[in-house]
Amino acid sequence: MKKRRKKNDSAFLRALDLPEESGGRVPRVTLVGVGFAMIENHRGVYQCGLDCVRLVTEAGLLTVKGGELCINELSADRLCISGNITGIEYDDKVKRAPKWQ
Amino acid sequence: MSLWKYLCGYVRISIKGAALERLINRAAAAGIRMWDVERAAGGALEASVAAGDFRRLRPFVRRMDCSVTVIGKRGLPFVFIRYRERPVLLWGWAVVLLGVIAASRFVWFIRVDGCSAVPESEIRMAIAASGVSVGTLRSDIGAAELGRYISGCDSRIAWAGAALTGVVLTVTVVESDLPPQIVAVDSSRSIFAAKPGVIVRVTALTGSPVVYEGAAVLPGELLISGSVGSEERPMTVAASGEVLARVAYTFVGAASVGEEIPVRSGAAEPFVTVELPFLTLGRVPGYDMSETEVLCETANRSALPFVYTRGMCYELVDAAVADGEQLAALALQRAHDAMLGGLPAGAELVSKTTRTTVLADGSVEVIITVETEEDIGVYGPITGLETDGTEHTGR
Repeated sequence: MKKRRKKNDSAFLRALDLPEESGGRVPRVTLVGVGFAMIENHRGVYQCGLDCVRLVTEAGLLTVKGGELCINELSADRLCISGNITGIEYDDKVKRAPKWQ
Repeated sequence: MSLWKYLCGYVRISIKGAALERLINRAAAAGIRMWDVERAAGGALEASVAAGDFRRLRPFVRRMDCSVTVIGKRGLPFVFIRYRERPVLLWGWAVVLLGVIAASRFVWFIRVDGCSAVPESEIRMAIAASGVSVGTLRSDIGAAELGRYISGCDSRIAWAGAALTGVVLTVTVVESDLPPQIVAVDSSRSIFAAKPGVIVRVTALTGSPVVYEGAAVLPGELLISGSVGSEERPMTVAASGEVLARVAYTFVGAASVGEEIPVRSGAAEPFVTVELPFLTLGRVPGYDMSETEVLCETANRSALPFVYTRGMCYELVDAAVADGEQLAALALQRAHDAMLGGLPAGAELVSKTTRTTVLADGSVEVIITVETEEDIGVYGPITGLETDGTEHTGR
C-alpha cells in the first residue's frame, strides 16, 4: 500500500514537471566543495561521529564520510554538515530505512 | 544567521547517555533547532541550542535517560544578565555610544587635495568664508555649493569639488593650466649653457641646434641658436627647446676632532599625547635640547577624530666627537645635507660616488660626487651671454 502511494506520488510530480524531491520523500544532497553538504528530506540522524555521519532517508541509510564532521544545522527535514568531506554513499546492506525515533 | 543567534542567545550543551542520536532526532522533530552538533570526547555529543528552547529539551532528556550539561552560555541576553549587577558600566557604554553617534553628525577634519600653485591656506580660508569649519553639522554642508563657491574664489582654480566621507570633508581642487609664455615675435633669442656638462639630448622646438649628443659644453656656450637664416638672408627667431646634459656636482662635508655635536645624554622619558580637534592631552617632556622618537602613531589620521602618539623623548647634550667612525658619519651627514640642498629641482640622479679621506690632524673629509641629467639651457640675447654659469651650483 505504502509502496503504491510512493509510486503514485512520484508519477504525479512527474506529470506536473516538478522535481521528485519536492514531494518531501526523496532525499536531495547538495555538496559545496569539500567542506559543506546539505541533505534535505532526511528522516533523522542514525549515527553522529567525527569521521562519519549516517542519516536515515527514504532511499536508505546515507553515509557522509570525512574528518572533523559537524552538523551545522539540524531541523526536522534539513541538515547541513561541515568538515572535510571525502565521500557520500548509500549503504547497500540497508534496503529499507530503519526506524529512527 | 550567526548574528541573529547571538542576539537571541544560545547555550552550548553536552549530552551524555545511550541514545543520543534518538534524542536529537526527537528534539528536531519537535521543532527545537540545534546546530554545531559534533561528537566530543567520552562518547558525548555537543550541540548548541537556542536559550529559549533549552527548557523544551527536558522531557526528551528524561524519556531517553540522558544527561545534559550546559558548557557555555553565549549571546546578548547573557551579556545583559552579566551587566545587570553593574548598571553604571551599562550606562557608561550607552553614553559612549550616544556620544559617538552624536559626534558622527559633525565634520571633524577638512582635507584639501590638489593644491600646488594655489596655497592650501587660501582654500581653507575660502572654506571658512563659506561657513564651513570643523564642528559644522554634516547636514548643513552642501557639497556642490561649496565646490562652486571655491571654484569662484580664484581664477587659477579650474574646478573644485567637496565630498563628505564620514566626519572628513575632502575638498579637491583642480588647478587650471598656466597660460603659455607669450614671446614677442620680434624678441629673438638663443639658448646657452648655464653650467658645464656633456650633452645627452637636444630638442630644438624653434631655432637651430649648435651642439649634439656627446659634446662637452662650458657655461655660456651656445646650444640652440636663434639665428636660422643664411648669410645672404639673415633671419632670427626666439629659440626654444630642451637641452638635456649630464652634469657633475661635488659636495664636501668635513668633521674635525674635538668638534661638539648634540648626542643623547642617556636621560629619556616616554610620552603619550592625544590630539583632539580643540585640545591636546599629554605633553612631550621639555628638555633644553631633545630628540623625539615616535614609536606608535594613529595610522589613519583622516578616519579618526583624534591623533594618538606614543614615543620616547631623549635628552641631547653637546659632546666632543673623538671617535673616527663618528667623525666619518658626521662628515658624511654634512656632505649629504649639502647635496640635498645643492642639487637643482628636476635634476635626475644618474650616479653617486662617496670618498672618505682622513686628514693628518685626524679630521675626516667626505666628498660626494654625483652626476645628474638636467636641462642646462638658459635664454639669452642672440648676440651671446655676458655672464657664465649663473645657475651653476656645483663644478
